[in-house]
Amino acid sequence: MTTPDGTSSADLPSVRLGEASQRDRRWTLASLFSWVVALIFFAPIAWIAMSAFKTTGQILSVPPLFIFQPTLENFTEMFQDPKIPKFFFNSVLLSVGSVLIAIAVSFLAAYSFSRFKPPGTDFLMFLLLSTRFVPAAAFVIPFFQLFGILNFRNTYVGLIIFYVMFSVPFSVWILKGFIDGVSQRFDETGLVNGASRAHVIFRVVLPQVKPGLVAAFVFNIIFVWNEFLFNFQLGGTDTNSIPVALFTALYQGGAVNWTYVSALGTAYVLPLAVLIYFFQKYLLVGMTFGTVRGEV
Amino acid sequence: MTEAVIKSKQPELIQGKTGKSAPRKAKSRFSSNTLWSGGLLVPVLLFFILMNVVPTIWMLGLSFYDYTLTSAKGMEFIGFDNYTRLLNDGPIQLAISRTFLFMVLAVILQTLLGALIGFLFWRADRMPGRRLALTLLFTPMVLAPLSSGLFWRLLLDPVFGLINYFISSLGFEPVNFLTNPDWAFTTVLLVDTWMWTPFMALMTLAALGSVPKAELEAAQVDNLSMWQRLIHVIIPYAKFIIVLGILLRTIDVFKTMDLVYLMTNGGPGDRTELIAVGLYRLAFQSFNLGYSSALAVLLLFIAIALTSIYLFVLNLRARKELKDQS
Amino acid sequence: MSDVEIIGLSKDFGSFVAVESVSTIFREGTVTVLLGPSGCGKTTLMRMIVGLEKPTAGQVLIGGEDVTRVATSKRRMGMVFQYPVVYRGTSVARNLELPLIADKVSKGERKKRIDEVAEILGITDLLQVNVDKLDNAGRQKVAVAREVARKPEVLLFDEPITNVDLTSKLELKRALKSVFQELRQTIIYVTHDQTEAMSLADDIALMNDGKIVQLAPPHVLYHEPADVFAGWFLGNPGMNFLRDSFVIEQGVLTSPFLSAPVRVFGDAGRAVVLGIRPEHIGASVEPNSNSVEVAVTSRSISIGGQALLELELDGHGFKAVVDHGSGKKMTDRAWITLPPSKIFLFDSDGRAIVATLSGA
Repeated sequence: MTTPDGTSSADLPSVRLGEASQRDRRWTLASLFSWVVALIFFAPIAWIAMSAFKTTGQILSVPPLFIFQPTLENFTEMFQDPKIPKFFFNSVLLSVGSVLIAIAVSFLAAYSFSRFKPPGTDFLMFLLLSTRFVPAAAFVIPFFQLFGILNFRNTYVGLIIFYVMFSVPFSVWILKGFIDGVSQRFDETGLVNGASRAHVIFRVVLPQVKPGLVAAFVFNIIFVWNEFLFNFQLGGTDTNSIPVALFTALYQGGAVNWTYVSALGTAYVLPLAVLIYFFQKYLLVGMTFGTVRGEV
Repeated sequence: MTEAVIKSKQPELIQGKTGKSAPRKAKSRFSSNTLWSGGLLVPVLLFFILMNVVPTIWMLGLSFYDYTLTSAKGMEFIGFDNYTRLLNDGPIQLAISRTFLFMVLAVILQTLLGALIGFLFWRADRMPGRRLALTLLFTPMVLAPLSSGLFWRLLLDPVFGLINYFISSLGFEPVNFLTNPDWAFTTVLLVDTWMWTPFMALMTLAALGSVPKAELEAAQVDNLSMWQRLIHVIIPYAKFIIVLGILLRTIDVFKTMDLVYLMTNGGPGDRTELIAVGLYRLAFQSFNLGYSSALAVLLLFIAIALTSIYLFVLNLRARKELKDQS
Repeated sequence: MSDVEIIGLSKDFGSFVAVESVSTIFREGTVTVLLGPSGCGKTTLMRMIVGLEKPTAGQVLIGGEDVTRVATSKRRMGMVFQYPVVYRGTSVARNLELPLIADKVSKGERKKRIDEVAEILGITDLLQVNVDKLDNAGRQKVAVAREVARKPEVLLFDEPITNVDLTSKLELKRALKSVFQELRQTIIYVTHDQTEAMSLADDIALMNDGKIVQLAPPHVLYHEPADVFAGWFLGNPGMNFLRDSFVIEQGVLTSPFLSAPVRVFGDAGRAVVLGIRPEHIGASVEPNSNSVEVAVTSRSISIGGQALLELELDGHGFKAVVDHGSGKKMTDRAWITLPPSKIFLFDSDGRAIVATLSGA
């Protein structure tokens, strides 16, 4: 079995086969159809991206324009609005800030769950997963009121704390899986040789679960980047992220400003597509909340 | 290759042995372990209590009150009245059954289509530019549902939308996809299918990847028919991950809100009001906090039940793998 | 006629050459064992024969017909994999039956074949058992039975007993032996285990570095190795090679390892290496008329109560196998005898030289 962390990639034959399959790439009927399917699924997004380079008149033209003189006006205009950089800043700050904290605390918890198996481990793991399975709307009211009492509404601290918890379940699940995959022999050897527990955790186990940390980081970033409801309800003009910006664009001044929506939408999708391209091998573990490991 | 995360069955630390020869040392080791195991959990527990336990209790508490923000009445304790009201609430029950219908249709559609696409990409494992093609295929599912909804509003616009352009160039009348009561439900279902079929394709690819290569090769050597290969080679291995995928989709449909909220806001009328949308509208459009909390509690229980089923399948698979290894 | 002939068959994985232009014939009704260390290309060669690997160059012919471009499923070959492959969730009988259904064998014939093969492999009692309940050895028997029942023209085995526990190994080996005796097909069998090869093979094709070094019956391979690799790989421990340990002048070989010069018949002028198998070295505690004194550097017990001695003479280290009793007495000195007829000579490229040695 190969693990997604690539520990087995050290054995030569598979590397060689990998090279061979790189060389053996070829067009077959199946690969042709696969490309067609991929393009069909991407077409709607491509259309939006195309629209981002159109003028309002061109977007609203009937019949739709496939060939046109692209303009960067929408983007320059968009970034002249001082609110837009703020939205991007908020999205980045909230996602990176909360995910880093979430991974740190989750790693410690995952180590404890994996190695000490304190009573209630299974139950806690279960509860954590179930929090991700509840419709988000169910929790909006209590959070709304709670944040009012704590004066957390429209503050970075409040939202970051919220997104930490939002990211913890997936992080704990994925990291526990990866730590389970590191033999306890490593811990034992370290302890027998007189190393401290902290040394074992951070110097022995941590380096071996780097792929898990990367996967947790990338996919939590995506999830927080995409979160709308809580940012909309708990945040405000100071802390709103891009999805909220997209949403409010819809209801600005009666008619939808489609050039704005498509330009902002494109700028928002691009990082996601790039992440998917570079971290494709973690997609499975990411989309199953860390419960299924493997590559495609 | 793919593996479900398995509960570690590795031997415990060698405490037992040291315990016999040096009991005092072992005891201090033991207590230090307890300290570590507890201490490492503290941060997560703090977050969990603050951000999950407290809101849940809050929600439970609210569900026993009659509390509407817009009414001057204030809070009034009414016991289980919200729950009994829930049992007799026609629109809510309709929303639940609509969600169920949506769930069944979406999961069937997405599983079948996803299986086909996954199979196609599996066969094309040496296609040129595979990584890019997979990126294009998988992008819809990592978009915020909200932005997908927004994009599709543009695409489905009755006047200048791309889809209606194709429809009218085929000689049909343009369709008001999102506001026509006959079309809205189907439209939302299809957009959801566009978003999530890639997910089932991903799960199918992973499932097919979990079939040992030697077994596929043996079937090739044995000249087994496609059907025989499917039944006796592929499905015995692939079924677990496919089932996990189906369960995740089921759970997710149950949570679907942003997409619908943005495209139709549950309308026209209540044609697309799934339960999560209904809950949101109850809370933030009717401001009926007590009653909506009761519904939230109900959904919480459903979520817990679904989680149990999911973990049951996950453990089933882990146990089978352990058995196969031994 | 279903000989398997391969012509100039090669396979590269990137810059790594797994199989290098191999040409040979595997004769019908013969069990040919592809033997060699891991990484020598034997499995790749077999996978190209069955079509699971596409050759970089060369051809595969079955019964004279070129199948290089024929799909695996159409080659009518059977193959038993290293990892025991069974079709999950069904009975043993059903496992054997599936490929027969695919091959459109009639129902009566299917039953007949299944009963027959089950009998040979001793799994008649297991026919109705679910394969999931079997251990690896049992599953591998099912896999063998399934392939045999198909009656393919060519049967391939890829290290079939490697993934089986030690006790079942012997049993499975016996089962395979009896199957091979019953069958008159072309059988190709890959292994890295020489005793397995010796006991099962009609012919052994010894492979090294992607090439077939020597194709010969086991006893020929043992007694007439084609090169130093063949001499070293067969036998445990392998043959001793003593470089620059002798002089040949006018058909007479003189060496510190021999008490007296011996005569060499044949073209031995190029010989630079002297080979002798450890088990052919006579060693005793006491000197006798034709023995040579050597130093004992270490001693260990090998299987079968024999002692493995590491000896040294003239700066050459070498090994000898003696019975345990006498081995115990050789603490630091021993007297050895090299029977001239058991001595091999090799040239500077390691190739064997056809020559006969005899006492003067």
